Amino acid sequence: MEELKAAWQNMGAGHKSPEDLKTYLRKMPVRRGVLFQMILETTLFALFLVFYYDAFDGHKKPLYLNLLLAGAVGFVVLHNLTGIVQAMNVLKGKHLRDVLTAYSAHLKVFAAISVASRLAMYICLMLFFTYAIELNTFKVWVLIGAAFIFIAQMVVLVRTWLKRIDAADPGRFAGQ
Amino acid sequence: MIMDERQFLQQLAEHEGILFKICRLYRDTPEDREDLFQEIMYQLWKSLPGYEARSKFSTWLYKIALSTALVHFRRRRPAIVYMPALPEVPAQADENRLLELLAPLDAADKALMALYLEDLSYAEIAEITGITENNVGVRLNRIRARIKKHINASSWKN
Repeated sequence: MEELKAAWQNMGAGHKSPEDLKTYLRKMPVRRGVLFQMILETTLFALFLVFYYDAFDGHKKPLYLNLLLAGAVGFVVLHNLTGIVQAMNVLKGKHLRDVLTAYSAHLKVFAAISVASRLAMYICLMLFFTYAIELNTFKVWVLIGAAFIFIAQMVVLVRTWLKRIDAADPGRFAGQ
Repeated sequence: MIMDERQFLQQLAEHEGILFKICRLYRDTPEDREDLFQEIMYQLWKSLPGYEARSKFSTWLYKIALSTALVHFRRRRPAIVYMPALPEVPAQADENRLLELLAPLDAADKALMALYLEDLSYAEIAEITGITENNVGVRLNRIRARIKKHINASSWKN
C-alpha cells in the first residue's frame, strides 16, 4: 500500500496558469456550452409552440387537442427552464453523504417529471397529428416510424436518468 | 466573504494537484477531465461563502471536489482510439497501473481511496464523507484487500 500511496502522491498532476484559473472563474466556458445547449433546445420547443397552430392547421383540429398539445409542449419548456435555473445551483451539505442525500432526492423528482412530461408531449403530438386522417399504407409506416423514434428517445431518456440517479446514490456512503 | 478572488486563486494554485488527481480518477478522457475540472472550480467558487475558516481549506476542497465528481454528468462518451498495431512493449507508469487498480471501484470507494492515498487520517476521511471512523476503517480494509488480490494476480511492478 505504501507503493500505491507513493504512486498517487507522485502522480503527474498537471498545472493551470493563474490566467487559466481566472478565466474558468469568470467565464465558465464548459458551463456556458451546456447552458447554450439547454437554451437552444428550450427555444426550439418554444418556437414550435408559437408556430404550430398556423404551420400544422391547428384551426382544423378540435380545441381540446390544441390545448393538450400546447399544454404538454409548454410544460416541457417550463421544466427545461427550471433545469437551466437549477444548473446554476451549488451542491449543499456538511459532508459527501449529506450532499448526495439532498442531491439525489431532488434529482429523482426532476427525473420523474422529465420522463412524464416528455411522454405526455409525445402522446399529445401523436394524437394531434393523427386526428381525423385517413390512413393508407404510407401513413401507417410513417406513424410506425414516428412511434419507434419516440420510444427510442424515451428509452434513452430513462436510461440516462437511471444512470445519473445511481451515480448519486447516497447509499454508497451509508454508515454501518 | 472569507477570501477574495485573488486569495482564492492562490489557495487553489496550492491545491490544484488534488483536483487534477480527482479528475484523472473519475474521468477517462482529457476532455471529460477538463469538463470536471471546470465544474469543480465553479462549485468551489460558488460555495466559497459557505466555507468556514475553522475547518482546513483542504478538507473543504476535498468535500466539494469529490461531491462534484460523484454527481457531475458526463457529457461525452469515452473516445475509442483504434491503434494501427499493438504496441510492442507495454510501457506502463506506476500512476497508470494505480489508476487501473482503482478503476473497478465504485464512485464512493474511489473517494475513500483518494483520501486514504492522500494520507488523511480516518477522522479526516470521516469528516469529509459523513461516515463513522469505524466504518471508514472497515471499508478501507475491504477495498485494500480487493486491491491486494489484484496486485498479487498481476504484480504491481512490471
